[in-house]
This record gives sequence, structure tokens and C-alpha cells, in this order.
Amino acid sequence: MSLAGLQDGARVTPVARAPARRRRPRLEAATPGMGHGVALSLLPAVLLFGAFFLVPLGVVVVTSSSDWGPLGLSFTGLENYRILFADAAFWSALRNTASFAAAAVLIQVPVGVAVAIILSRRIRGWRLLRTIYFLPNIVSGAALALVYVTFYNPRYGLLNQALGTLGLDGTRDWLFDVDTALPAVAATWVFTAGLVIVLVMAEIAAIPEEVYDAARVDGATRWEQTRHITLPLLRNAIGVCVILVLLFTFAYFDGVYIMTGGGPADRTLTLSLYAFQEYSNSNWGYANAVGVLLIALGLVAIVAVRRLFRIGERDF
Amino acid sequence: MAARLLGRSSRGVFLALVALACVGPVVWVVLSSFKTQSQIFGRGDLLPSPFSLDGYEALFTQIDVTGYLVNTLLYAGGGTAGALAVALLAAYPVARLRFPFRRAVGLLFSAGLAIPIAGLIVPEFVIMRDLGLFDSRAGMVVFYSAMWFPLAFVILRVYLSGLPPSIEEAAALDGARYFQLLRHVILPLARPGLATAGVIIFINVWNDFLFNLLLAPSSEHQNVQVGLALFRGQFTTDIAAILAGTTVMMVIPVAVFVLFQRQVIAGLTAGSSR
Amino acid sequence: MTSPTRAAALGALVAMAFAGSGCFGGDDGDSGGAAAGGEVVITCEACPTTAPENDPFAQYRKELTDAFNDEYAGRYRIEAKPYTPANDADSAQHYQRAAATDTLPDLFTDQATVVRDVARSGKLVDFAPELDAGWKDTFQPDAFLSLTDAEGHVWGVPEQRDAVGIFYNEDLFRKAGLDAFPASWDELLAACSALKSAGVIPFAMDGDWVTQLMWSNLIGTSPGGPEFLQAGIAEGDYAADPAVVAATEYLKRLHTDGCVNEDAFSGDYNRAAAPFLDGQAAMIANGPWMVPDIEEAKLDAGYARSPGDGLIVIPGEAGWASGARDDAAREAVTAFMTFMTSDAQMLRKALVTGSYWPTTFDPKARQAKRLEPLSYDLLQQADSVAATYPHAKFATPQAFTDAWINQWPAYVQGDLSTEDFLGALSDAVQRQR
Repeated sequence: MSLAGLQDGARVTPVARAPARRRRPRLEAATPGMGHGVALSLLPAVLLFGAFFLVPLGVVVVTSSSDWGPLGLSFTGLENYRILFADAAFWSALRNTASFAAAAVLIQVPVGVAVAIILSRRIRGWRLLRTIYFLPNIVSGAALALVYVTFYNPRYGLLNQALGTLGLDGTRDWLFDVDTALPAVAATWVFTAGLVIVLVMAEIAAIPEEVYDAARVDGATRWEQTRHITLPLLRNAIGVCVILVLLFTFAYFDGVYIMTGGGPADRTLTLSLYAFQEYSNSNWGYANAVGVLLIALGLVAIVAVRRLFRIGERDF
Repeated sequence: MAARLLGRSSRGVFLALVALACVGPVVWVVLSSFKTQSQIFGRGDLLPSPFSLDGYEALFTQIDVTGYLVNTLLYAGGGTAGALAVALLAAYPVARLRFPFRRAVGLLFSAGLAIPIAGLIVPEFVIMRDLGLFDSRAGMVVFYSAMWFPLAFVILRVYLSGLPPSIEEAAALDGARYFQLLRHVILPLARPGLATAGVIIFINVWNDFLFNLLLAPSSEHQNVQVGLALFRGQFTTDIAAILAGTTVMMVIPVAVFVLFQRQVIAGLTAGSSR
Repeated sequence: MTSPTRAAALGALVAMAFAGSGCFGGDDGDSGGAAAGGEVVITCEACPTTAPENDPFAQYRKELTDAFNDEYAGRYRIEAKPYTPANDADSAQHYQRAAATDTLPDLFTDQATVVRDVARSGKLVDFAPELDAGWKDTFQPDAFLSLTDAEGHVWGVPEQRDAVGIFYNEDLFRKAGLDAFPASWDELLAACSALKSAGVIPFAMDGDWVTQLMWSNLIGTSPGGPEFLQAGIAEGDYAADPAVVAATEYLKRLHTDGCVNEDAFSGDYNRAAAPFLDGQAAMIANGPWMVPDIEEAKLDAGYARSPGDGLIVIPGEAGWASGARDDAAREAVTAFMTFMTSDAQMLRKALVTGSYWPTTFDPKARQAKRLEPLSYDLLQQADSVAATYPHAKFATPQAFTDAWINQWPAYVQGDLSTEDFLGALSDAVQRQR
């Protein structure tokens, strides 16, 4: 009953899927000295986690109200936030990040769910297709960015060459035209729903066949089966997917940094890139204010989505 | 009947379009990396003709790709080993033993997955600098181990909870101590979980761009993602070299994935649904 | 074994997983100092250890380092610890960080604006005392312009003084019926039409370096232009200067009239270089370091001053700076600077790299004959041209360039007014001060 059972189409075994049953062997009584072992065992994790998650989190929050740079730190209260909300670049970044988030939730997730449902019917070549869909998740963001820089190049990129062959306008500089930059960037990841597909397929595989059999006996069409059985049962998984794509969107950096640097005129600037730019300009306190906002956004998103999708108790 | 057929073909078209969106540009870049400069510029066809290794030659002679690859291998291997080791040590007690604050600790470590680490770039930089780990290979390995510890923890915890409860009872009968138990009994049993988490983390560390750029930016310490992406500006006219570089960046993770598909997918479904 | 020992062993295993890779621990640049035998070792991040054939600057630097080590063997020695930045921003960050972490090398080079930025950390060597003692006379009067700050500190020693002109493809010019390079801005527009009719891209630009060079030419050939480019530009407030506004609008017009390649954005120098070197574009503004690429592309090229009778002359755009911390290292560094700017070394540099000297060196005729004709000829025109001026990047921080790359496409596409575009640039500069 191991995780290896979570393959391709096999029914997921209840033991591995259900929330971990609390095993409580009372070992302390049987073998004194285990306590020390446990403490030592947890120590590296505590140190690493503390140093690289907890301390930074604290630092970000505390110094977000300061003017911090290589030359020193001085607290300035809410000054950073005042500057932040007055900065047009910040609003661009916020708007763009929100647009990306919307695209992720409204396009990426539905596409992934739809593909997963279709593939779960075990049509021919479904395994190969799933690999193809997952490929963009395997390749690095940097590599993909370089792929698309070339793809979108006005002179020799595939897109313009194809458009030219079809007799359409094949001269646009997609990544640097103020009207097309944001959609062009979004298009590089919004249709690649590999993770969603994999997760939803695994969840669909856990639905017992009997439920569908009963529905078929009652005369339900395939679409009705999907709508009334599959989708409701996928509620949790879809909710998890929404959280995952939102977290990815907030963290998205590689693509915008390499493809456009945030331009033109901040049309593709995201909060993460904005924070990095401020870090590069040694405005550390200010960058941390942006960081605080990013983290807050992430937490809000998780809480909101969990509530919306009524996700049960999870580790998140 | 007609509706059925229409439904089937439109589904097929849909699947094909999504597939094209996923791999089309990538395949084009890989194919084009074997073209000559003039074929790339000319409104040519998709397949290279003549087949040429000019791009690869230019790439490997002009920049230290081997160095970048070695760095990336070190970071991915070291980071994975580190994350797995620390995570196993932490996940075992949280999953299977009882001790004060166990649930809180488990929750805390898992919560690491929820923080968009892009918001922490400044303090990560400062902490690495203050610990003397900034701009060093060892430092990158430590950082990656810490960064991927939460995911490894979550995956291993789920996995270990799934093992039968009799293990500890049998061990108690044998009078085993904690680390003996861990090393001789749990470790072998945990191998599939370790493999799963390991493959996912390896690929992710291999692909990392932001944190290598942020924390070990000098050119001797760059990984292949940062090194090749930034060098784009150096190639005045050699597009084939850039395409070759992009292909090189993608090869290893794809190969690892193809070999370990099963583990990757299993791990993701376990790690994320919890 | 008892439990604690086991635990320690396991802990050690985990620790080894980290330390094992410590064998590959990176090293950062830092200062040398007096070695036991009295030979002073100084670290140099601009000195390469290998010199690939297609990189004349690397060849020159390596020869320079070796020659210095030979000359001063036993007294001073340069330890080469080359640092290759991927781009300008990368380099700027690297040295800022080095200053913040006290790991600056004894010798390094960078753009003057970066050197001045890093100098604010207080960790750089000030060469003003040595210069005041008479060394200054061997340099051109404007040589230290970019490396001196408002208080008179001199943070670096310039390595070159070059004239930056406009390369033009003589074949394409002939094809369009043009027999001379345009001498005025109106003539440039006319040449543009002729070239377009001949199916040629008149001007190649890239949205950053080349574009800013032409902007600088437009401003520099206007009244008050040279002063603006030397100093006024660092103040911000560009929209108030009519010459700047006119220059910006003319430059935009070149784009909207179809005189410039369609993909003249992104800041990727490739976008300008590719069409020119491929023979599809007729003109490109760039420095003499492009000559080797042009020769390799077998183009029949000329090198001209700017329309409007002006020339970009950049004295000391880049400089050698030092983070040396003790007197022995400083002495060695000064010896190097003197060596580097000596006549023999400067001539050698011009022969290998095609870039010229910031000193008053005047080569004899037979020496001059060996120099690259296009660039040397243009440099000598600096004496007869109506106006000489630096280019925009000379006195502006990296933030200016970042803002330019960001806003320029939107401005050309009509999404921003000239005032707003110049305002964005001004903001970027003023925020850094």
C-alpha cells in the first residue's frame, strides 16, 4: 500500500490517500532515550527552516517599515507604503499580477480540468499526451523564456514567419508592443496546465466506477455524468489546483525578467519583478514592503480559495 | 449520432491545440538549433537543411557551458540530498511518533509551502551574506536544501504515515534506539518516497533561476539557467548558439522526467492533495 | 555504540552532505597584501587568465598583466582573478555587493558611472593625491571628467579615450545613389528616403545603446548640448530643455517614418548589430570596437562624424579602480596605473584593440601607420569638428538606462507624450540621487 500505487490509472489506495491516521505508538515508555533522538532528529530541520523561512519572514515584516540599504537601516514608519501607493509602477505591477492571476484561474485551470476529464476516458495515447502536457512544467522557466524570446522575435521568430506565410501581418514586435506585451507573456504559460491535469486525473481515478455505472443505468449522458458526478467530486482537487496556480503566479519571475524586463512602460511588470528591481537598486526596506504585500496576497488567496471551495482540513 | 462525432472531433482538436501550445515552440527551438544562421534568418522551413552543429560549436567554444553544467549538477544533487536528509529526519517523528507540539511542528513545516518565497528575496540575500554563504557553491547547496525541505517533508510525511504501525512495535521489542531504527528500518522502507521527492526536487533545483541569480551571481557559480540566459546579450549575431544553449538547458530535466515519470507524478499527487 | 554517539554520527553524515560540497566552495575577490618575501601581490578582476582569439580586449589585458609582472618581478605581482559579468547591470551589482561585503579586489574596471556609484561606499582608492603630484599633466584635459566627483576625489584611472561615430555601409549607400554621408539632420532624412526606396533599412537601432548614441548626437549638436551631456543630464528635468525635447521628437520621427528597423526595441544590442552586419541596414552608431566584427562580415564600411558636425568623444568612460586596503597594495596599484598609461602600453593597446589613449601621447608617423585607419582617422577629427560631447550613459546611473529601455517602445508607439517620457527618465535619475 505504498505511493507507488498512485500510478497511471490504478485506484488510489485509501491508506495513502486519506489524511494520515495518527499512529501513536507509545515508544517513550518502551525505550527511554528516544526523546533525545527525536529532538536531535528535528534539529537540522528546525535550524534550516528557522534560518531560511522564519527569520526572513520576520525580517521582511519588520524592515518593511524602514529605509534599508547597504549603508544602514533606519525606521521610517509607514513611509514606504505611502511611496508604494503613490508609485505608478507599483499599480502597474499590481494590475498585471492580478491579470495574470485571473488568466491562471479562468483559463489555465478550466483547460486543465477539461483535458483531464477527456484523458481520463483512457483514449488512445493518453499517456503520451499527458507527458506532452506536463513537459512545460519540467523545463525551466528560464529555458522557456528563451524559447519564447526567439519565438516572438519580429524578424526570424516562428510566430511572425507563420503569420507571414498565412498572409497576415507578420511584423509585430509582440513582446515590446504596448498592446500585445502582456497577453504575449501570459500566452507563454496560460495554456500549459500540466500540473492541473496530473492532479485532476489522479483524483478522477479515485472515483469508483460503480458510481458511473449507476448513473448510466439511470440513463445519464456523458455530459450529465461529468456535470453531476465528476465535477462535484473534484471540488477539492480543483480548489487545490487554484491555490497552486495562484501561488505560481505570485512567484512568477523568470519569464518576465528574461523576456521583457517588465516593459514596455511597465506593461509586463509583476510584483515579484518590481521587488527584485528595488532590491537591485539597494532600496531593501522598500523591496520588503513589496514582499510583505506579496506574502499577504498569497495567504489571502489560500484562505479565500479554501473557503470558497470548502476544502477540508489540510496541511496548508 | 452526429453530435457524438462532432463532440469527438472537437475534443480531438482541443487536445491537439493544447498539445501544440505546450510543446510547439519548444520543438521548433530544438529543431532550429541545428540550423545554420542563414536558414534561421531566411523565411525557411521547419526542419534543418542542411543539418548543422554550428550553433553548438559556437556555444561550447565561446562560453563555459561545462562549468555551468557542473555547477547545476552540484546544486541539484547536493540540494536534493540535503533536503531529503533533513526532511526524513523531521518527517519520521512527526508522522509516526508522539511528542509535544508534534502537530504544530508539522503544520509549521508544511506552511513553508504556502509562502511565495519571491517575497523573501532581500532577507535571504542578507542571511546568506551574514552566514558567509553568499556567492559560494556550498552556500547554494545549503540554501536549496532549506528551500525544498518543506516539499520533501510533506511528501515523506504522507508516505511514512502509510507504513504499517507494526514497525515501531517490532523495533521496540528488539530494543532498538532511535537512530538505529531510523537507519536500518525506516530508511529502506522510505526509499520509494525518497525517490519520488528526490526526483521532483532535483528537477526543480536544476531549473532554478531567481535564487541562483540572487545568491550566487558571479559567473563561476552560475548554473546553466542563469549563465545561458544572461549570456544572450553577448552573442552579437549568433542566434543558433542561443538556440543551442536553450536546448542544452532543457535536456537533462526532460531526460530525468522521462526516466522517472511514475515517481514524479505519484509524488505530486501525494504532496499536493494533502 | 551508545545513542548519543550514534546521533552524532548521523548528524555528522548530514553535515558532510553540506560540507562535502564545501570543497567546491566559491571564493570572492579580495585584497592582497605584502607577502612574506616582500613581493606585494595584488588581486585583479579585470585581468584574464586566458585570451580567446576573438577577444582583442582580453588579449590586450592579458599581455598587459604579463608585461607588468615581468617588469616588476620580485616587487609587485598581479594575481588574476577574472570576473566576467553577463551584462552591465550584473557588473554594477557585483561591485556594489563587493563593497558592501568588504571584498573588493585591488584592481577592477567598470563604467565610470558604476565606479562613482561604488565610490559612495567609501571603499575605493582616491587617486587625487598622486595625480596632483604631476602625473595629471600626461593626460588629456578631459580624461578624468567622468571619474571625478563633486568634491574632487578621483576614483579611477581612465583606460581609453575614443571617438564614437556612425558606421555606414558604402555599398548600400552607392546602391541608393548617395555619394557622401549626410552632413546635416535634414540630409539624414533625405538619405533615409533614398535608402528606403532602394529596399534598405536606413538605420539600425536597439532601444538602448545605439538609440541613446543617436539621441546624444542630436542633443550634442544643438546649442548647449555638450554641457547638458556632461553635467546637466545628471540633474534630471529634461522636459524643460527645448533642445532635449526636439532631439527626442526627431528620434521618434525616425522610427515612425520607417527609417529604423522594426525591432529597434528591447535593449538587446543584437537587434541593431544583426541587420547591419548582415548587410540589410545601412547605418549604425557604435564605437571603434565594432571594427573587428565589421571586418569579419566583410563589409565595405565608412566611419563618419554625426550629422550636424558633432562627434561623441568619450574620455575615460570606463576606468580602472581599486579597492586596495593597505599601503603596500596601494603602491603596487599606483605602479600599475602608471605602467598601464605609459606610451608603449597605450600604443600596444591601440594596435590590439583599436581603442585609444586618454593621454597626450602623439605617435610618430610610422607608429601611426600601423593603427586601424577608420577609428584613428575619426579620433583625429575630434580636433576639427564643431562640437564634441560624451554620450548619455556617461553621466547617468543605471536607473536611467533601465527607464529608457522600459519607456522608449511605448513612447515611439505613441502611448506616451514626449513630456511624460522625459518625465519618466528624469524621475529615474532623481530618485537615485
